[in-house]
Amino acid sequence: MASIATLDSMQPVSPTATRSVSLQPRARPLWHLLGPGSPGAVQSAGLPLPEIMQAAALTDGFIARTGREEFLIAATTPPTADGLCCWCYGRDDRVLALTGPDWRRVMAQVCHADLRGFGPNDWQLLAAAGVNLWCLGIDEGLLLGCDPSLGHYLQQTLTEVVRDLTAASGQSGVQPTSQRPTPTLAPEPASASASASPSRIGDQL
Amino acid sequence: MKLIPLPDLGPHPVTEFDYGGEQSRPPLVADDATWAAHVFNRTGAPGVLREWWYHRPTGGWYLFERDTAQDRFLRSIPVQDICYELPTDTSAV
Amino acid sequence: MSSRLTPQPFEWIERARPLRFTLEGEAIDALQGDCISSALWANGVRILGRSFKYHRPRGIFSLANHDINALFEYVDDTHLRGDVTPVPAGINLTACNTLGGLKQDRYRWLDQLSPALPVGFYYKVFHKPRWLFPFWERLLRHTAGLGQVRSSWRRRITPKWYEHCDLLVIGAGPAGMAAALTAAEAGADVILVDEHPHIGGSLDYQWTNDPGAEAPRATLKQGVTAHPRIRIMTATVAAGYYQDQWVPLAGPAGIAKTRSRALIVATGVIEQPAVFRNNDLPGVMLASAAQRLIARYAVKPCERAVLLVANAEGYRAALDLQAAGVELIAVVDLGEPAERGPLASKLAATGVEILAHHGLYAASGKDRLSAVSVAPLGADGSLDDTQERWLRCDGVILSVGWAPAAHLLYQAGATLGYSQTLEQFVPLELPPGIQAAGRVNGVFELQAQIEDGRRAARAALAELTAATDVASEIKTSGPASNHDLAQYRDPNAHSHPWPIVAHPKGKNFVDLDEDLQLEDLLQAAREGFDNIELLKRFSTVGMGPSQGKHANMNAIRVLAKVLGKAIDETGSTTARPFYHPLRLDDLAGRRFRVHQRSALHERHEQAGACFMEAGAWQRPEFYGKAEQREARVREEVAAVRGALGLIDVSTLGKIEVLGRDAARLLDAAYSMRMTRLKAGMTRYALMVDEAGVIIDDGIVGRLGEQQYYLTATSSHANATYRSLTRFALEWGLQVRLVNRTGQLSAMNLAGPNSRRLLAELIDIDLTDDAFPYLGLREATIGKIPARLMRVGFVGELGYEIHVPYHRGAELWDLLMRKGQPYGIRPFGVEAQRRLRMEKGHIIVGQDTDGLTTPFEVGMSWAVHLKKPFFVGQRSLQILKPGTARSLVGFELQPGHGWPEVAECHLVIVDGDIRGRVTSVAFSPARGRIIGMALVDSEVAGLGRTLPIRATDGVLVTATQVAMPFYDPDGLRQQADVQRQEVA
Repeated sequence: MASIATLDSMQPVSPTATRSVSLQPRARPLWHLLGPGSPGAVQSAGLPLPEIMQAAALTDGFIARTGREEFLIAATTPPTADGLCCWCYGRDDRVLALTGPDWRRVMAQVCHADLRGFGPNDWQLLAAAGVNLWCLGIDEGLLLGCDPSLGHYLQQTLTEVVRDLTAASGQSGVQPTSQRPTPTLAPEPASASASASPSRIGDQL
Repeated sequence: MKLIPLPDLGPHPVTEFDYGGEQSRPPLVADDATWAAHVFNRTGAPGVLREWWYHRPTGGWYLFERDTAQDRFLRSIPVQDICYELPTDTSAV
Repeated sequence: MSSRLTPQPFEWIERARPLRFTLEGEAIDALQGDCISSALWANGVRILGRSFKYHRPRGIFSLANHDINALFEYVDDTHLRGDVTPVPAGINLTACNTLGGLKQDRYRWLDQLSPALPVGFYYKVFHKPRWLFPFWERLLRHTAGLGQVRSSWRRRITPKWYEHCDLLVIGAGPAGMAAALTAAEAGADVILVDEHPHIGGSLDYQWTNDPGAEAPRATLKQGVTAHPRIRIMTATVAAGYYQDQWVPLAGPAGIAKTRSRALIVATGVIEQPAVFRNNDLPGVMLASAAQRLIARYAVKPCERAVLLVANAEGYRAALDLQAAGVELIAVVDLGEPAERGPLASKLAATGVEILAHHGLYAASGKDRLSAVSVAPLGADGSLDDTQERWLRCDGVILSVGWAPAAHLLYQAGATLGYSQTLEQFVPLELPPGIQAAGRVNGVFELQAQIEDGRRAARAALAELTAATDVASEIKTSGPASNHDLAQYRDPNAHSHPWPIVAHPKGKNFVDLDEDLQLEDLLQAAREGFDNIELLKRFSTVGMGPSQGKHANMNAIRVLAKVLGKAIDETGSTTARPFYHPLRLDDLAGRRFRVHQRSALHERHEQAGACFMEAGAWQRPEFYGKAEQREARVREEVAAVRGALGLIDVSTLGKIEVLGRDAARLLDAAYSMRMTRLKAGMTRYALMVDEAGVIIDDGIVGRLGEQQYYLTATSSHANATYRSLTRFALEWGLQVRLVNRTGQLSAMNLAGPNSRRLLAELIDIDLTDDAFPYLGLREATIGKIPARLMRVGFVGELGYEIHVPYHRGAELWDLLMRKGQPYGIRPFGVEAQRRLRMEKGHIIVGQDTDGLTTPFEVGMSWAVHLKKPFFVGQRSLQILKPGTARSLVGFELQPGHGWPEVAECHLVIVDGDIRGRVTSVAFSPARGRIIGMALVDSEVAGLGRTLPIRATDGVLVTATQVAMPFYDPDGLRQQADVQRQEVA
């Protein structure tokens, strides 16, 4: 029988776990450093020089290498950029921390990437919920960053997902998820006006 | 949905990309008919096509050869292979 | 009161949990674990539904969701499939498609009308007289239709999610379970999915009385359940196959969009019916349905059964029925019992009458089966109806053949061929990453199915380990070694090649969903629809809710016979997703609607903004209540012209262009010369595509020797960035670009008082010499670092100010507070559009379309053809001599009110369309309505009229006038009009 040395054994996430997950905004200074002189600037500042698409932790943040000559740095002060072969711009990304044992279940609803092996200090640029994100693995979770104009949308969307998952796992008396759903009568609506039968399906949306 | 195999970054779903169309070098010295064919006509017959793909999350452009009949990505092309020099004189005008 | 058999070893019902529901008001006793059909059958209900067209009574047929005889609805849902829906406690069900209930359906007289309703009758009847057609349409919609949708239903949200695995095994029968176990033991991460609520597949209803099945059943079921690398998903349908092993798994919690590296299709086979007169009566059912009734639900299928068999399985079913206490009247074998194996002898030993080389001719009964006739088969296989003999019975059990559930294999691009040995389609060539195992692969013996599952797993594992992810050598592995695909296939046929009997009185159904009889298919072929695709579409065979699961194979057999062709030549229709229907709310999942907001969004909300959507952005259209729109917009326009206005333009594209070749890039990407731009100055920038069509405009500013900063239109920002980065690569330039569109807040301070206000807050000299029109400066406003450009879009003295995103609100507050004495007022997109229109400035995408060149909109000045190169230059050289269209300005009579002239209203000259309006609004500066129109050059001309077809189709006559409509010399934006003091 063949054995697979290259495939890892993945621990599946139990669907009936009731542990929680939380989403917090994190404000931090971010810098976009780029140019042919950027690797040199990083080294001159005494910072670690990661490989492309890798990150390294810093005392007050992290440094991620997003290209051959391009970095995203979370630190109070960035390396010096001379403006001739190295440039540095501030970034106002919306940064969120998604933590908790079920953080992967939240990401599984918005992102196609296989994050089962994603751990602390892992780095990836991906698309989730229709927006571009950077992701840094942290203890029991993920730091996510996106363009500030999309911050409100991203936070709102992920908050809904977290809320739905927390509600679903807290339900008792729910039939096992391996069975087909049994037809049930919908509960009476809270307000009388909602129960009036509307003329268009669109009224319900 | 379809996966596009990025060099060094692995396969990513096609929904993360913007399609950039067929790669072709503009015929800078050509008659009007040749120029118009370059601008408006596309290679539609099934075969191997060289195409631009833009990966939005990483902001990178890639060139791939794709078998359009089977919709299979064959190989990625380094962009240096298709670079061309911008004309510097006005003789083409 | 429901009667049940003694406890069955693998039953799904829980006898300790009784339930009750009602069917059309009648109480039905059930047990937890019952499906609706089994509960009804246990209570003696035999009419479970009425057929689609003829409203014939129907009962249990496949009990596998391969037919829709039993379709129910209740107040909160419809289209409940009786075969697979758990019983609903306390709910009243009604059947779909009846008028007056199952027993007294008032449409049942349609069955008598059936000679007048042959296949495709609706294409031919009802056209004349045409005025009667709406009546027929309404009638047809009432009589032929299924469930009712009610707008009172509330929306459920079932979010979708993504799943990953190394191997996806579809089907948890013996072959699937064996495959999953083999792969998991070798280290693969496996998802095993089955559409039923329990794993086991045929092991638990067809091999129930077989002692040889006990050990494998236990080993396999316990093995897969316990293995840590196998995730089991039951009650989950693999709905379709999409590229690169992408499979939606639709289960009770929603849809899991699953990416697997390899796939094993172990979906089994779908039992096929025999076709004979009245083969749709309640009581006629497939053998596997009878076995499911007994094994899963402990329900006796009937009291007295006649079986029609053409395979060994038929005898197994006969023995199962006997064990359940059913009296076997006769077993009618289409062939030779001696060839069916030991089970046939075992059955014969019990004394049951076995009729070799016989067939069924017709069934009869009122509303349910009461008798069936048998007749011998001649040497040529045809039935000799002169020797018809009737047998009284209440059950006819059919075991004449199978068709593979190969839908996903077809969708994955596998080729299948018809095996003459098996009389069944089997896979011939599988694409990389796809395997097939078990009965879908033509393997019928139990141990052979298990071995086939293991073989498929080994083949999948071999491919997984061989695959490399290094893209420069993308592994194009050919088809998996298919030579052992056929290794475990049965040498004997389990399907009969022609289980079809014609009858002069018809009602021998091929497709029960669509009420299609044998004659209908023959008729269609006679009318010339003699290709399987045409036959399908004309007759609608296979187009019902079961999508041909129990009908397509026989339809192909019929067509092949009519054409005199082999089955392979006749072909088969395309199997499209979804395998079973999916609910729309499951497909919709969670709604992702991306929206973008500037840093000033809350400020706009507080100021009472009325928002509009500009792409994904939410922007203030104006400030005030919706019903006061016109008044508010005019006030905002007046404020900008007379005092001071502030608008949020954060949506603009903002791109840094850095490096040695920055100027060369911009020079080649835009139509005007960029190389001579001085540091500290800006220039209008027009971008055209290779065809010379305008695609974007903006401002290019030079900050330093190798540093430029450009703006682009909001809607084209990302595309412009994308284009520029690609050009840089194509032209081998040393340049870096940074897209800072969302990272910077931007606002436009515009109006005669703008300089005076800014001078109070800024740390640089704002005089015309120090900061001229079109200048670009970096400065501090308050304590906020800013980039400023003197721009002229709205035609007043103005400054566009760019600051970091998180300082935007601070700047807005500062300007609004300090600007009060100057009459500052926020203005929105609508006011800005009117202001710029008065200046004759175009908006790309509104005043231009997919064909507009700069020459057509009076922008020849922006096209420097003498440059060495720019994108679109060649096309513009060709197009320059003659411009087919022109953008002209027009105005209406002062006081013009009705009819309203709006954007896209057409310019009609002498009855021909000669153009359209692109922008139009009331201009306070001119005191009348003005606008722009893109018209054929022949009708353009200052002073000429422009007939515009307005609202209600009335022609309004406009007059063409010169643009700009206001301040044509551009004095306002260049200097302070009221030169009272120098700032």
